[in-house]
Amino acid sequence: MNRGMLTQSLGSSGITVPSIGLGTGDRFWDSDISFSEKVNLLKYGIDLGLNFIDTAEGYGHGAAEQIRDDLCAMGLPAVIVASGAGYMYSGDGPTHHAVQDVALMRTLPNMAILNPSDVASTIAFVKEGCSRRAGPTYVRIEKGVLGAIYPDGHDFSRGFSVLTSGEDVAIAATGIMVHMALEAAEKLTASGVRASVVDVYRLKPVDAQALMAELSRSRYIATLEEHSVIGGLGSIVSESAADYGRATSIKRLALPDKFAFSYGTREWLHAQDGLSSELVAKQIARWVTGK
Amino acid sequence: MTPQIDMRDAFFDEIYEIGRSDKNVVFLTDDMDAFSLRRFKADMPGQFINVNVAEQGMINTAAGLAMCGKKVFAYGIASFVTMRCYEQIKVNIASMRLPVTIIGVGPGFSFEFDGPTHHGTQDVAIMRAIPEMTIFNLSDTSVASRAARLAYMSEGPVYVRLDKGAFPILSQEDEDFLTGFRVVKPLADINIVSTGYMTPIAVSVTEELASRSLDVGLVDLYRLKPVGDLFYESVLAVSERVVTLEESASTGGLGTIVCELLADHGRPIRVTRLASKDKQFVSYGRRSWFHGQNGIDRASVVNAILSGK
Repeated sequence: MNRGMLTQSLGSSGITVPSIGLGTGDRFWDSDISFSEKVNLLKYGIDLGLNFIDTAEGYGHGAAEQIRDDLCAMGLPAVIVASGAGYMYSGDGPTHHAVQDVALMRTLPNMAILNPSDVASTIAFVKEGCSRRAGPTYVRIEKGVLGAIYPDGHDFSRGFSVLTSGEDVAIAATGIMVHMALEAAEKLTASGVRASVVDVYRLKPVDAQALMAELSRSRYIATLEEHSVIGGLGSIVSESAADYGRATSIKRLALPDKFAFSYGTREWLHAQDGLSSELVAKQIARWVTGK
Repeated sequence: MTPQIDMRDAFFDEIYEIGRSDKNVVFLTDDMDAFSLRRFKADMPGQFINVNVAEQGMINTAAGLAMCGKKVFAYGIASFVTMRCYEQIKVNIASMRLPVTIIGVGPGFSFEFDGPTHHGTQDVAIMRAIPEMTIFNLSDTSVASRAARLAYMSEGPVYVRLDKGAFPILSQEDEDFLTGFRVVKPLADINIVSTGYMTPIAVSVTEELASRSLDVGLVDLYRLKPVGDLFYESVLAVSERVVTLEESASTGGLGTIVCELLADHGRPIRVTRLASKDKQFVSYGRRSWFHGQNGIDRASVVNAILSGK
């Protein structure tokens, strides 16, 4: 229902968006109008054809109920772009760490959650969110330069992609951690453990049966995510394993259920929680070989 | 048999006694009332604040009072007192590990005629993701009054899900409620793990199955966080099949907790997760009608157990 809104192409993505997007940072949330008026404003904008909204994960927490009632319940096709996944704002403390957002967003009916791992998947997922006709999409985006994983035009429709194959252990990873999983898999191969890496970029909805069929090709299953161990990819895979009769031992590598009050680089924070390609490879090798 | 009393009365009568004996206790409400709460308000006006319909402000007020050394209870409707003020709970209460007890009344489809704004089917999933949080999901008056005391004694944040109405008492009188679960029907090969409002329904399911010569065990997991090793060792590790029964959505509640534990321990048993669907119910009907829509009513649960999966 685009009522004569000026539009333009978003970069080279081929996506059409209004020429003026909606920024929902401090100026939006801290303005004098009430919270509910802001949400009504957002709804009105979406009705008018507004489909490009910039926000950050931290704002989403305060707006959880509004997202649930006004976007999910009404099935409105808004794209929520969340910057600052996991410990991306590593120097800003627990207020800025987005390590519960998947658990929260996953409980909202009609929500789609996309967690890209490179530039091609980021472009594809913003496009996918914009093309959804019913229901909102939550896209976690990264800043900085990440190595390319997918060629342009890659088919993301299954919700996950197998990046490497190995029959000893399947590592299901998501977002930035896919890169760590690939490095860990290389180290595992060097030490004689054959590891597959599966990028689970669509965290909702998940084709649990297909995902389990894929992961069960390997003898062991591990999950790797930059999110609390509660409610993210590890929980999704555990549920899927139980639901599809393949309940098995799963090593859930994630951030612990605690606040990270330390300050440092993202990599340093990861390492505090046992997450680096070396530590992941070591933990998995010890687990798989029993040594 | 003990006369049945309303679960809220059991909980608030205990809060009344706690408030009487400790002037440091402050009770906040977001304009939510309860019959048994009026006595607290009348007898201890200096310890009772109605902040009105302002959940975020209530949680921030609770944080400030707790920082000044008060023991705070903050009361509202389960759906609003969690999701509307999620960030306030996470940052101001939980990250500071403050002894604030958040009481959510009306979990699940308790507010059956008020639509999805009032349905409390996602609160367990989101509260469980917050570090430091303890979650009680009350299934009868004995655990309700004990949970009030345990919450008062807690050094960190607690979330209590409180139902309305009278329910049969499932416990022995000397139960201390420290393990987080109780065996309601002796464990068998197939065991139901239920929580909150669904536990009395699970009792009737086991009775129905027993009349058909199938003995099924029943465990009431009344503390959803933390879930101790003892629960795994004495329930999941000795089950051949587990059926989880909850009114929360299937994304992140009791069923997820059980699946995570089984995955962590590598125990490949069959799990049947019975929960509300991951769906927004923009429809109106009795709570039992909602249960039928979600396949968690007595007949559906009996059938699910008999049919295998």
